[in-house]
Amino acid sequence: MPEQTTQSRKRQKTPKTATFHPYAIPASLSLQVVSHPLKIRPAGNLLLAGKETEEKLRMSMGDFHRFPEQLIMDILGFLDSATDLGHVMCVSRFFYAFTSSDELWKQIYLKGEKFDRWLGSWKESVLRCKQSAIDCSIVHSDLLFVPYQNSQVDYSKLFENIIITENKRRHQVVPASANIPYDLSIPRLDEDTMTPSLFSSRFHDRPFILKSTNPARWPAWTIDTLTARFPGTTFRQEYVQWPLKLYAEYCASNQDESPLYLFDCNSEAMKQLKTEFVCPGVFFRGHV
Amino acid sequence: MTERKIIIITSDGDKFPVERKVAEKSILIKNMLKNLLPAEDEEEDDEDEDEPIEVPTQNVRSAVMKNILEWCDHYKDYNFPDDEQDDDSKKSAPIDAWDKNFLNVDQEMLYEIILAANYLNIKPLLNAGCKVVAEMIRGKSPEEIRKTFNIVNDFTPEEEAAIRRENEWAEDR
Repeated sequence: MPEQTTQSRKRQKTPKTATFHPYAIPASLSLQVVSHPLKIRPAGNLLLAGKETEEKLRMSMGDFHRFPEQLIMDILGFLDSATDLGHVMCVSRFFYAFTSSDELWKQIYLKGEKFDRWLGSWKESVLRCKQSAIDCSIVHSDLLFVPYQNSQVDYSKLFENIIITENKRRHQVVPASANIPYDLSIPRLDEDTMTPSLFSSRFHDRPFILKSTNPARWPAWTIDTLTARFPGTTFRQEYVQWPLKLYAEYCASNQDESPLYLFDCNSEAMKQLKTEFVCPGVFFRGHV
Repeated sequence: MTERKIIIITSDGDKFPVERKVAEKSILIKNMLKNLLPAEDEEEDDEDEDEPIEVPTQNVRSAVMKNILEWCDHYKDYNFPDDEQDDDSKKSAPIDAWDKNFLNVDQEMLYEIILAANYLNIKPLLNAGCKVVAEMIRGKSPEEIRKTFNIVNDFTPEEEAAIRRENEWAEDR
């Protein structure tokens, strides 16, 4: 963590004259439509798909065509072994599509089908095999399509303008006395200029980032450097406990709508890491 | 003071008079009654309190409703625990023996009971029904699953081979 920010974030007024708005969503994104790797389509598309597709889908679903898709997912959710779910996967295109739902395989993992290599999804990791690109374009389902679509939001594109703005200011350390404009960016201040009285008079209610002129001031912690140092050390990630190396692989590629986050003060590694970070003086001297 | 009568009318026009606590196993009907009736322990001085309340259920036919009401009657004095709590333990629990026997019907009736429980919002019955269907999948080969549920194998031979490879690890253990 090279920089330290305070927790509070205040809604600030937008300058009226701005032509470049950091929070504006790039126009190119409003038209972005993702295509599912198995060609599964949104449910509404079935209305225009035609009789032939409807009939194919009906045969691929068998008796299950009578059930709403949430019920089908609930039924498959009651299967608790990779073998049973794997058999359903082999039945037809419709069932191949439904068993591609990573939530089902995550449940299988949590019921005890463990793995120690992450292959890009829960399904692939449990089965230790990459997914075949089976054409499931007859399947129309929001339950399958929407989570995939959400997992594909490109945040670096979505927040491109904010990132550009912030990157420009990364190295601009403002003097603490300066009149800091409310222009959406977070001011960087030199650690030495931030005194308890300055904090309580001007900065207690807005975010700021402390910098230091000494390049060795903050520990060089990134997921890569930490993984290199503690590959086999386990950390808790919500309801799983994985070695850091497995978690790093998971972080690099997964399709989870809300990915597992790591939050663990009790890991063995923390004993070492705690000694590497020295708290900024302004917080240390006891002004809360 | 006597309780007001509730009459459930099925899609094919049959009428089933039921006790309130039986009908209220259906959350759909319970919410409907909540709007029409004061709570059971409240004073009731409505003039037409002798008029029975008719509850139409357009999606459920008489033969299915008879089964649904048998289930509701069996559990009328049982309070199911709140829906929200502990989803996982409920999922892994085996099917209740009485439910299992109750749902030992032909496949068509099983589907209709599941769909009716879904429509009428009777969660414990719906869960039991889904578990029975999952039970029908468990331990079966893909071909047996197709047979059981009238599913047509629509893969090309190449696709089938690819999926079999994908599934190899789960198969050979």
